[in-house]
Amino acid sequence: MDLKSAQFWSRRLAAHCPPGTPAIRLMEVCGTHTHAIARHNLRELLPGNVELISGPGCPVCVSGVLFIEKIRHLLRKGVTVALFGDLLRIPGSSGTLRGEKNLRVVYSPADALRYALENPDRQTVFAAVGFAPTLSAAAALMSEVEEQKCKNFSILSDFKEIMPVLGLLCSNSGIGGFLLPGHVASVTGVKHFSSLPRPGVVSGFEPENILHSIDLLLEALASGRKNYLFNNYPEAVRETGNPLAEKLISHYFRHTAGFWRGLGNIPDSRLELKENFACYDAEKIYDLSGVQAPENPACSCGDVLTGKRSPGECSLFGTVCTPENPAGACMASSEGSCSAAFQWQTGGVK
Amino acid sequence: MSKITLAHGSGGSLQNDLIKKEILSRFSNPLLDSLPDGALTPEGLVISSDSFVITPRFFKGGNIGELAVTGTVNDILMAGGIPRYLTCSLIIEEGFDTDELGLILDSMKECAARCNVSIVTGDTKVVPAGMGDGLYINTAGVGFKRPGMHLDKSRIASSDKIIVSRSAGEHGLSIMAERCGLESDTLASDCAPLTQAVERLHAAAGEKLKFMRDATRGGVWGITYEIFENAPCGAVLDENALPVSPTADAAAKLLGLDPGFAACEGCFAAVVSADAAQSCVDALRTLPGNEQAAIIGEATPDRGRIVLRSEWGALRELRIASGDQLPRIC
Amino acid sequence: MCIAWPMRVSELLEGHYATAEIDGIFRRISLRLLDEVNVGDYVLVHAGFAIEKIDFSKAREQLEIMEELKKGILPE
Repeated sequence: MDLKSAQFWSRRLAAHCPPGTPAIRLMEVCGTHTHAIARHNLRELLPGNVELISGPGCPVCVSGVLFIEKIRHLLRKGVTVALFGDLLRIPGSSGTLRGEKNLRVVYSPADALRYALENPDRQTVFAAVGFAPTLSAAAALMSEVEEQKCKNFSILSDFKEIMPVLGLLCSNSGIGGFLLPGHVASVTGVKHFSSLPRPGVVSGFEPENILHSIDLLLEALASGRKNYLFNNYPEAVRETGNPLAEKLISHYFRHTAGFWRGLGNIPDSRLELKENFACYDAEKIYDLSGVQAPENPACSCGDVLTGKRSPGECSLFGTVCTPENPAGACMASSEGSCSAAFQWQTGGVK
Repeated sequence: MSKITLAHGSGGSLQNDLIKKEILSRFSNPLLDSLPDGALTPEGLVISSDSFVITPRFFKGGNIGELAVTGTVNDILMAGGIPRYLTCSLIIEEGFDTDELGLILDSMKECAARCNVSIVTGDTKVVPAGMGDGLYINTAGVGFKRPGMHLDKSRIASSDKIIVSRSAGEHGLSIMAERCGLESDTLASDCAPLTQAVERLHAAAGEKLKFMRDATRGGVWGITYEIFENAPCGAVLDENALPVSPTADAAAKLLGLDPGFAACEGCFAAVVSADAAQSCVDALRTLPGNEQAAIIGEATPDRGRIVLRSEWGALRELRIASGDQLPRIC
Repeated sequence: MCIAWPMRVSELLEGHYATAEIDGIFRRISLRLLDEVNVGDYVLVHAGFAIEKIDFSKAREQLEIMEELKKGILPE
């Protein structure tokens, strides 16, 4: 996006909110949006009375200390755990998982299965975090696991569902509208968000897509359309989403209560393998119910995620809690609100 | 009670703290204090040392042996020396394949010949199986001060230009891509001696060349940060001016990485007077592999402030989050 | 939330897999989440799985909408 376009969007957005209009808080739900917004300094183009808050849509951010400690428990039992690189930044109760033996960083869940198939004498667990796209990948993988009759592969699931959290955010914070996650919507469809009581726009990830989506949100708010829901990423998102993906997900997984770092337990917000696939559920195979790990009480990730505090307002930010030594998940993931704020600290416009 | 973690070795701020608190505090002397990759002694000797550990040991574009020679040769070049002699110390894990060792030593030999350096002494240790990761190589190098080259951070002045010698991030991205099952015919490590590039740059700039640093760990942004962290000037870097090959860019996108922070092994940044900048870039571009050399930013009067300028002109402070990048999926 | 990029399917492989390409980078991807994918199709790839087909005509329409907006009178 060049300077001319930036100026255009800045003026256009300002026209929706002339000085004197009440302050508006919008939330970008998705961590990939958070990163793009920070990287391209898009906040500087927003009118002064519009605040953009980073939501809980970074799956690694919201994984609890307990999940990390369960992985550590498996590793120390000699089980190979395949995971995404981001998870190595997340602290458990005794630091991150860096340096632990038996870890394999993978780009794809399919690589985890491949490793299991190539090493039939090793037990391999895929430590799974993510929202609908990663969940659908795991569901597709499960169909392959069954076909291959793979006996040494299982999943430790911390897959999350975002809607219950957005519902909570609507009821206890002053969020006026949502920039909705484009790639989640590719799987779930736009309809998935239809029960939101605030305007929402499904957005792509290029800077101008994001600004255009914010423009649409502000327009909807100005004209009082509370149930406005728009697909501004039509090249990759269908109204009904990907039915095959949804079918596979509901075949293998079911909703259950889930723990979100900083937010606590939220009903129906986690997905676990159904009872009849228990033989692929690492939680059950290795009986992890005895692993215990308390959350860090000093961390204000909960308030940052709900938009009640900005990263800079946390007493740990930038001192005790840094990307190299993160206390909370918002700093630990490179897409976390605190990490983004730390890394791309704004320096003004020239 | 604090312990060394892997992050202490990955080039981020933890490593800086470790070096300053534990090493510099004890060994402090005028040559060491600026923490150069190579030291220039009053007698005109340039000395450098580096240790090499890498998985996989053979990668597209090179191997650990080639890396061990070019790494130290490049450090001497960057410190203003003409490399002459190298040492070679091997720490080998019991059970290591002698044929593989032979291949690695062959490429060290070949690479040393290309760099016009001789391997003149060394050491071999074998550690019990399980005590080492196959093979560690340490090389130390000695060279002589290059006549007419005067590298000194304190000479950097406002409006000097920052140049990068070729497209960025290809070593780090290529290795990460390989580990993650991404294949490419064109993306490979840029591992190469910088001898000719430095010669051409020096010929074009003469005394107007003020400082150089090879963009190894931390990538181009990381080392530019290090150059200006304690320079008399600040810097503005143009994000869009950083040359990145389309393939490297695609790998970075897929893995969620920033090419500007990905390690290079045959690329450096230099600070030159503004009036010499374009002729330096032109001179570098005549060298095969360096066609993408570019001006990526300039020194500012704002000492200590190092910022990235986005395409539309917004400035944001450059922060070095962590030296080693991990692939992200979200 | 989820990094995903459009890649072009360059070869169909056994077992619902394919090779996909973006700017000279090739990766083995799974097609299990999509019906009827052909060589030459562009798919949205997340973590090695194609999660949706890309419809570039829609992307072009979006661009046109934005260009139209930009032609409008700019409020100062």
